[in-house]
Amino acid sequence: MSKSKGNGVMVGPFVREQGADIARITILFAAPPENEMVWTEEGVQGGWRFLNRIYRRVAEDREALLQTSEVFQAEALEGEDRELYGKLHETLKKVTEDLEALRFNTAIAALMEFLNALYEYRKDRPVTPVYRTALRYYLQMLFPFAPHLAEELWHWFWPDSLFQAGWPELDEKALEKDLVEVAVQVNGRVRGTIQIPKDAPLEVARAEALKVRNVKAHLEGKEVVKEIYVPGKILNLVVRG
Amino acid sequence: MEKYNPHAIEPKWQRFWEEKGFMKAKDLPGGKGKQYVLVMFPYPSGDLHMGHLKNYTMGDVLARFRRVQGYEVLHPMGWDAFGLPAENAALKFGVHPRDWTYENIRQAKESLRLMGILYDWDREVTTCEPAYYRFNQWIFLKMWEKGLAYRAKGLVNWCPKCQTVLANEQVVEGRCWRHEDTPVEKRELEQWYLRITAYAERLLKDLEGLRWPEKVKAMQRAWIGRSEGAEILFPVEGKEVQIPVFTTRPDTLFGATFLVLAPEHPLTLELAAPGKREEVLAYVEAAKRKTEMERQAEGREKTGVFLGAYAVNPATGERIPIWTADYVLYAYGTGAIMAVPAHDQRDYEFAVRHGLPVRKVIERPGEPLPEPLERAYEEPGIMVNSGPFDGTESEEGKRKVIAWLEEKGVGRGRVTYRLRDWLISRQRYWGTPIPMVHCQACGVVPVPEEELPVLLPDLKDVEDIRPKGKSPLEAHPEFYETTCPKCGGPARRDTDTMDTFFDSSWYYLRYTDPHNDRLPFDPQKANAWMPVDQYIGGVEHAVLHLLYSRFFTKFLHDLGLVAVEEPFQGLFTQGMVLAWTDFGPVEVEGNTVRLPEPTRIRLEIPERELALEDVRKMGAELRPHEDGTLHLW
Repeated sequence: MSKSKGNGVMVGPFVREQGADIARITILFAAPPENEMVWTEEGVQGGWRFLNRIYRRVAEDREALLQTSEVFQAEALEGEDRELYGKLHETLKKVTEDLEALRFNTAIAALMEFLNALYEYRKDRPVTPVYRTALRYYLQMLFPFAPHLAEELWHWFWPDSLFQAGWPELDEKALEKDLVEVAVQVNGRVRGTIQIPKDAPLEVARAEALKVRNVKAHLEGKEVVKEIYVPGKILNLVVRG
Repeated sequence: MEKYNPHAIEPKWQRFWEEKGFMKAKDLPGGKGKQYVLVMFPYPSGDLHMGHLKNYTMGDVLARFRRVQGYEVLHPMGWDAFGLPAENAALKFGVHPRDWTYENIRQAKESLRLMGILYDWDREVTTCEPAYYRFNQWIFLKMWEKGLAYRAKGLVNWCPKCQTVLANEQVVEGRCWRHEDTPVEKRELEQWYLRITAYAERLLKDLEGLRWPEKVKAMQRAWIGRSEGAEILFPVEGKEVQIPVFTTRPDTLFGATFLVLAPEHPLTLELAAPGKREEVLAYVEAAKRKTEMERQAEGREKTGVFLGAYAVNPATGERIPIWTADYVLYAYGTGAIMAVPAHDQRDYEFAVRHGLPVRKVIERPGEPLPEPLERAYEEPGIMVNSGPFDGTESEEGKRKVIAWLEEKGVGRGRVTYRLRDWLISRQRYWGTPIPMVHCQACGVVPVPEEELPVLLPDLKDVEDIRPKGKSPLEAHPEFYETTCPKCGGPARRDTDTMDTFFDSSWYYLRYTDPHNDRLPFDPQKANAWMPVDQYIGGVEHAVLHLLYSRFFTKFLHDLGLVAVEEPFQGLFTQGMVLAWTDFGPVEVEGNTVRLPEPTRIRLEIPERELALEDVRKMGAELRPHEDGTLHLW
């Protein structure tokens, strides 16, 4: 039974053997919701691994989490803490929008991705206030999809039900990328500077550069034959004519 | 460290949520706002498998999400418990449909609970309970009062397997939607209808504001099938009779070189010349035995018989022959057409086969049409050979010709719809009895409201409910013998039951006030929750349930029972999977599939067939999917 529409898999026996949350994740993650579900053994395995990984992450950190506060200043975060915080709110935004539009499969994909980020973070960092917040939001986001597991883990730390916990609030500021100053040269001579995100693509850098009056003046009537762009550092426009 | 063990976790929290009542809805939501999340309620069809669970899981995810967002949420569940599936299954296994139904409900509820899907079970609605179906009867009586429920005699679709009549929507490619191997027969019967056509324009117009998939809207638009055109009167030569003809192309009137009457048209036999009578009669009889789909199939030989009579084209004054042919349907338009072979392909084929004149009256702009024509030119163009209208662009010509006809008193502008009234009586047991009484003296008399419900009698013997070509209740005098509410004399109850789609046309309103024993629902409670904010279900209901429900909501709105005019603000439908069976080679080009015609396709869910022609008519299309199936969109 590697592939089916789930028509041969009876609910009762499956749930008693494997679990309701696994069934829910398998169903929701199998395909875009408007398509027919394809029930596969691989899907079931994937669902189990995902939930088990969540359980392990929280279980491993249980004691440390109980001894950690959530007091921190978002603006003051740096390095990996700042990155985790940004990624958390990106995930929250995505999951919220996907839920509104009933795109449950991509919402779950975003939760899987963020779980990886949590594991990555814990490779070099201890349990911190921002990490505890990330896990709290995580359980809140998990709740509609795998409610039993989310509720169980939630009660390790908080007395009320997740039904009473509300939905996390999005911090729009966390979504803003850090801006860096990039010098703009025309034929090797600096003609201005631009403020763009560190990882902005060439298109963004070019568009910003063209807004700088001095740069524009030096491009007037000339043809750009080459663009040399080192993200976060320099944009050099080579012109002819 | 402990291990993830779902069994240690899941039952505990399921009990906790139930006890805390987190999915219990208030009658009158306040606060931040309400969200009504609804999944189409199921037939209780036995143990659930994972394929069934998808929609319910989606509904649960959305309901929980809305709840934690701070909304008050209504997420109810119920059972579409009457109807053929329960009855057929019950007969197969020799148990009463009620026992079979309730056992299935029990199992399905257990499965839903196991999945952690939370409903407000206090609001459970089961349509086969008298507490529910008495309001089917109540609504029926209101429709009767308003002239929207009526009894009429006519040719109806009859499935010999189901032993009952079917609605037009339940006939697919001339076959029963439940029995792909069973051609539907035509029978002349008196049946109950609901006048859904009175709402055609509103059903069409109000689609605009709905947050629905464009495809479903397109399917409903095509099903309602509004066409603007003209009704034109053609006088019959030598008689005081005029034949009204409906056309969507009044601009081609000058090219009408003959008339065609449907075989069932009452004038067909009346106008037949003495020497032609027998031939015409034989043709009419043969046509009656054919299905609508057979008669309309593309590429089929266009048969017909000349009546030996002539009419006059009111535009040209010309004498034109009158024929009868089975490609013209009596139910559409006026049951008669003016044939314009130069600009209608079917008329063209008919004219070529029977040696009738073809006259071009629309010229193709840019590149003139070949002489003689090789096929009909159906596109717009410039009017020619049309007297005072020569040189007029055809769209403008439609309006001008209509104005001219109205001025001369030989025609008028008219809108027609493809939609037909909904035939709702069924000759089966497991349904809502129609609350009417037949009295020798008074005719058809409604059962007084205070005597509702008319209870479905409990027939103990399964053999008693087996369909026998007439209503099983006809064999039970203890049910049908009654007295006339009007004159008090002996009378007979109507022994038919309602189409189960009647039950599902308003159940979403009942959830807002499920225990009301005076009204279908309290308007205040319904207004607090309606409309459904997100409805989730299968696209196979695009022209059945989703259209009927819109009709009912509008009717109940007109009665002053509910403020909204549309029941489902947001709709989410799943594409359906079609198996690669029953048809020959398929050409796949990108996103389109070309199938050999005529083709029958089997839908996997539900058991229903669809002709490629129907797919097109609905404005839908088939797309190949990477898993090797075809999807209907």
